[in-house]
Amino acid sequence: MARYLTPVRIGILILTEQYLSGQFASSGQLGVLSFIASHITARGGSTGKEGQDAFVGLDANAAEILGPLAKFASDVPGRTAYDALLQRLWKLDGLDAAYELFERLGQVIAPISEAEEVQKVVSRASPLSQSIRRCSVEFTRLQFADTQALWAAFVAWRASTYDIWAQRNPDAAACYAEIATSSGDHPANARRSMTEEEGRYVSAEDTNDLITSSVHHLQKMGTRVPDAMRRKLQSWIHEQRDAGVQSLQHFLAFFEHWRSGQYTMALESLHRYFDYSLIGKGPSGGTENMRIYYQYALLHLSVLHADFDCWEESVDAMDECIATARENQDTACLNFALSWLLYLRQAKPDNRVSAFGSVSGLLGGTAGEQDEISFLKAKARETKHWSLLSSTLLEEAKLDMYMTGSTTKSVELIMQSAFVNVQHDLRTLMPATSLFEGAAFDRLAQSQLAARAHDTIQIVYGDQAPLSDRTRSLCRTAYGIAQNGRCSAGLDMLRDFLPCVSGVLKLEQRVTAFMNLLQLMGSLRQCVLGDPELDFELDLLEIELYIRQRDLDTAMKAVNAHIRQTEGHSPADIAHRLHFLVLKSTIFALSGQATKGFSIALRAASTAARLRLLPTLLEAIAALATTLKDLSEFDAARRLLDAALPMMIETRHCRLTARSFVTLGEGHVGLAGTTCAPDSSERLQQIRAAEALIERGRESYARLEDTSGVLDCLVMEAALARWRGDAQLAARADAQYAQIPRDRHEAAE
Amino acid sequence: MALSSEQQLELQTQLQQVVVACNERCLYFAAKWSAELLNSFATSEDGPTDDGEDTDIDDDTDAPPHGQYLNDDPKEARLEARELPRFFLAKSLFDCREFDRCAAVFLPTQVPHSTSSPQITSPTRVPLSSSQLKLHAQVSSKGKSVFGRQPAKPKTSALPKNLSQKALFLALYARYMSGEKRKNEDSETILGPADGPVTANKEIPGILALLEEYFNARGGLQDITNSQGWLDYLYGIALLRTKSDASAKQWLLRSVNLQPYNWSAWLELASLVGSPEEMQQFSEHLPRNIMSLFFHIHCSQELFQQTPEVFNALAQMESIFPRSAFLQQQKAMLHYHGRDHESALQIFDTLLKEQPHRLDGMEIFSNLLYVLPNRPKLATLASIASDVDKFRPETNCILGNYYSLISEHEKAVLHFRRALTLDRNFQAAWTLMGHEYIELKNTQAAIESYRRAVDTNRKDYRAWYGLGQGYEMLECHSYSLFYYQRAAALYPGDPKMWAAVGNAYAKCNKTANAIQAFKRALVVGSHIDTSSSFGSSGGNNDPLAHAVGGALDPQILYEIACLYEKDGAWDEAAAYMELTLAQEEGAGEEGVGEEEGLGVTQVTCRARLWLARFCYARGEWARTMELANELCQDGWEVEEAKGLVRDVRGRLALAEEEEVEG
Repeated sequence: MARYLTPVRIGILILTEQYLSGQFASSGQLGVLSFIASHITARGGSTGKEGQDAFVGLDANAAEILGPLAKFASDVPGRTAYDALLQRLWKLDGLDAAYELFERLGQVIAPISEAEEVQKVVSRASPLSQSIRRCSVEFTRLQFADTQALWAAFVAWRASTYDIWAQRNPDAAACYAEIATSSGDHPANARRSMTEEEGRYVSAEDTNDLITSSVHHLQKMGTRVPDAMRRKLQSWIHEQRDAGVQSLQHFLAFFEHWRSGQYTMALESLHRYFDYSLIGKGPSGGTENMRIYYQYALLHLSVLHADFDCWEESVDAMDECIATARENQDTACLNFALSWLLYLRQAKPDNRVSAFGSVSGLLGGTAGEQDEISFLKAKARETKHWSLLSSTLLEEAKLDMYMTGSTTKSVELIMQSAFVNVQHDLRTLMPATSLFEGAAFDRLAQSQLAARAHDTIQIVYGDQAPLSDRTRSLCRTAYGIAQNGRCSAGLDMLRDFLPCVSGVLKLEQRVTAFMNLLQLMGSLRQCVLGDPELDFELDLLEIELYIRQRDLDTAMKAVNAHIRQTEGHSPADIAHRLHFLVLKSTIFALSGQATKGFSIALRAASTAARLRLLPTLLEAIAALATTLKDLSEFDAARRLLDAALPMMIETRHCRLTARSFVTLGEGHVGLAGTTCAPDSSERLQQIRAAEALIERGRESYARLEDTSGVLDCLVMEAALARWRGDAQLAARADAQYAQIPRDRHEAAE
Repeated sequence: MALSSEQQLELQTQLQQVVVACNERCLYFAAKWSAELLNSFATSEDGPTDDGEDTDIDDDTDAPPHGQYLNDDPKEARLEARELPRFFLAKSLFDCREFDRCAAVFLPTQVPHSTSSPQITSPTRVPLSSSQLKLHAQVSSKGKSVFGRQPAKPKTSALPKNLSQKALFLALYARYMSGEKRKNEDSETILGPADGPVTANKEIPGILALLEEYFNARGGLQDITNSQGWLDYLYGIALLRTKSDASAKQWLLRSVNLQPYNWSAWLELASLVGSPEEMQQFSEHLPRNIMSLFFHIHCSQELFQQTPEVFNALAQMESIFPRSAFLQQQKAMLHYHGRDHESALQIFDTLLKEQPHRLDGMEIFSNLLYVLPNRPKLATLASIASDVDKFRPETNCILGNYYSLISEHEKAVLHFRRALTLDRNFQAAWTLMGHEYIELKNTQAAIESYRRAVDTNRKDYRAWYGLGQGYEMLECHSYSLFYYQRAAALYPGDPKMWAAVGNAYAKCNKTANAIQAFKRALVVGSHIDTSSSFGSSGGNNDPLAHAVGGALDPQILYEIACLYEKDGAWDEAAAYMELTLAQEEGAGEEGVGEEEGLGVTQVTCRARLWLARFCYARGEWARTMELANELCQDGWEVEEAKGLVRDVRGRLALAEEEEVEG
């Protein structure tokens, strides 16, 4: 595989040779020269749109690339430069012709000792000569088999122009066809042509550029590589044997995994990238390279950790990154790492201590956040690191908003940041600034202006904005619209946006959450409030949410409020009241105050029994049993549930059944522990029973798709199995436990 | 010499049996050759109707009428049956290239490589390249062994009793291969210090001792009653490696008589044939069968005998084996050596088209394309070969030739070295590498390469010639003369050889000999029929009438003239200069069909200048003027010619004046 040469470049070389021999009409020469120039000039850094344009021709065939030449005239009347080129292109009739071409090209360039200026010879320093020389050097260095592959690729590449050429040169075409049929039946040729079909020939350098640019894009935009493109990239990478490309591939994979939320895979890919980069880069030995790359690897590692909420690891990695960067005197990396550290601390204030330690150590003395920010700002100005300056300003604005609450000051800082962005063309940072601007305006109750700021991101920065910023702004906009009363419009907006974030797990989740929120908002508004039935269900859901969030205080308050509410009004449904009472006892049980809940549950149960409110009664019994269990009255709990379970199953109230099964199982475990003699068969029997019950509970939870319930059951099962010494069963339970989050994950993908 | 169908069937049966037998003994190359031959009968014979008949014949041969390959010897059959499990083990081990272990299956008393050699190398596990397995058969590596002496007799009889010949052969052959492998490993880099005759196959003395004992017990060389011919072959090659050519020849002859279908034995024998006369002697001792015809053709090809008899023999064989690639290859090589490049090219072309995956002998094709030269075709051949197998010595030779042709000599050397790493006995690569080193002006390396080529195959005139060239570059003229003479003796049909000999003589100041050699070159190189122009002149008035228009090489003519000049034979010199000039134009009066002359070249111009000066010295002013004017027209040596013209004009004017005055 050639490092640089591709069929396209050979085509351009042929054109160059033709141009130098003056085969084009004087009117066309300039055009041809500019065409050549556009192909041989080095791609200027792969930033912005130009970088992407450079790859357009990579996958195209000869007809597509050389087609524009048809505009220019050749020195033969009636023939365009395209025709002339095709004629030359097809004159290459074999591998040997390629060698001849490069031999001829070698003579075109002026010799090193320029004794006299010869006409029609390219000087050594000219761009044309540089490109020719580069190609020639590469061609000389190619192994024979690589040359063969290059030639085959060239033949495949030019095939698209056969029709046009044959039309213009029927004689030559007939001759060619004859040779092709006579020599084409060689099995080796057939084999080769089959392999050629699969992918176009791309040089190592192009692949490298392409991957670098893709990585850059991923890094900047936070998007994912489209499937089709990934396949193509894979096929190209597969052909490369260059170690650098191989390692970049892992870097690409790292971003892919990261976006799709596969934390461990991302970590693995990052490490792999680092390992392979050490091998690949240069023969000078790994240690030197390691020092250069290590800090960046750490930086990525830290960001990755942070993104998956592993704050401790993230801060640790960042600390080491800072240390390494200081050692290597890499100011850019150091400053960036410091600003990240600042962000980390704000994102997770719990880690204050460790974060402070490192930063204050750096700055000398126990510095406050303000000091750090001013330090970073000064550093950024000093090193002309404008993106750092801009982001630090934003950070300061955020701090101001959070702490001192002076929004005006924040707005001023945001404006400063915007100014820096505009002045230094920091397009990727502009959306972030706009976001802050929007937030600030929101605080100033200028929602119209805030909406404008958000719109700016969508309209002005569109494709160039990082996906996360876009998502954030879109969600805010949609929310704003919903607040405006156009709920469905906001929903539609989000729904349209959903395909853009597909594959990026976090953003996808965010958009879905916002959609749910809007839907809820909409439905709350639409439904006629005051329908007591609905109110009750809503209230129940609210309390359940609190319980799920383990916010038991609030839950208790809400329950108490509802109980009070139902107390006063005579038309209140007694069933509702009882239900709330049961809930109250459940909350007590959950908070470890089972005794308090006991009487409440008992009262509720007896009332329900009296009133024949069977569902409520069953709920109450379940709560009572839980309380009894918590009070170590295992036998009582067991007998209660044994009696009630058939009825519960009849109600088809799945959650209730599940909970009861589990409680019953727990009761059996308690019995085994308290009443049975150690190592007795009785005890084993109890445990077996418990296991069976918990298994049934798990099944019920599974039917409810209540993951946390299932997980709890699995933990219990594993513990019981382990007690019994059944390692196999325990392992199975563990495996299932591990499998469930993964499944959920994939479902989310 | 078409065969009757019975004969053909018999031949087929024998070939089938020999393929099996060779494979059993791990003589892969011989097996391949025979199998190729087996598949090159005329296709029409393979009609479906014949199938039944074929099986009938097979059934017959199972109760063997020609049971040479089956065991008609009940003792051998019993032995083989008894050791069958062990034989399978040994065969499998050989196939996995665990040679030492294979040998130990049947010769267990042997301590690993306990040879008389004082140096015992440790066994290594480096796998052997596949090409290695056939090297012993393809080309003999004569002179690689320093073991000229017979080893001391083993103290105890190492030979186990009751071993079948097959088993013994396999065991000893495995030992031989193990020695080759170790030799190859010890040789290290190509042209390195350990490469070459310094490193030898250390197993050979042991094998020789064992076989000698074995054959002595069986009645020595004369008693051929109870030998199958395989062990004789092994003994032959072992002797060959120790440079005992005479006895090697005897044993190999014995082997081919006993076992005529072992092509490897024939090849080893062919490497011992040094001249056509020797071949004549050989043929008396050869068995009268089809294989000796093959042998004859092969030897003639190797000895550059492009006589009609050889072509006749070839045609006969082709009538039996119309699809034999081997015969095609031999024919092409004969044409190539006979400088009939067109026919050779055609044959190679069809060969390549019919058997695109067969690389054997294709390096000769690449030589031919190099000589022609035909770059595109050579490039195509190179890509085909590279597609078939990048790591075959043949492929690398072809690539090397291609790179040499496009003047990338470093790359060419690289590929030749690679070819030699793959197979150190690949003689063509040695020679070609020598050529490349000459191009790179690395004379020492060139000479060593040529030397190795010559050591491997003493019949390669190109290597001899190259050696001469190398010494010429080092200005060791008597040495170079010696080598040129060897080359010319081997290949008298090439004027280049004789011209080189002539040059070398001239450098050694042996003018008479030099002139002789050059004249020989003229004769060999002339495009005209020698019998009519130089021999009996017949009805033609002028013996040199045909010797114009590029029929003779002007360069050689010029050289001869210069030599005569040096000798002071002015008339002769002038005559040869005239002859040189005569090559410019065709013989006009002979008719339109006569080929054009060479036109004006540097050599003819130099001859013209010489003649002009010669005429000037003799006072033939008109001729001088004419020649000098021609020179001016042609634009060669213009200054010199103009000077002459001026001088002659002056003299003529003076003469006129004198005449007027007088």
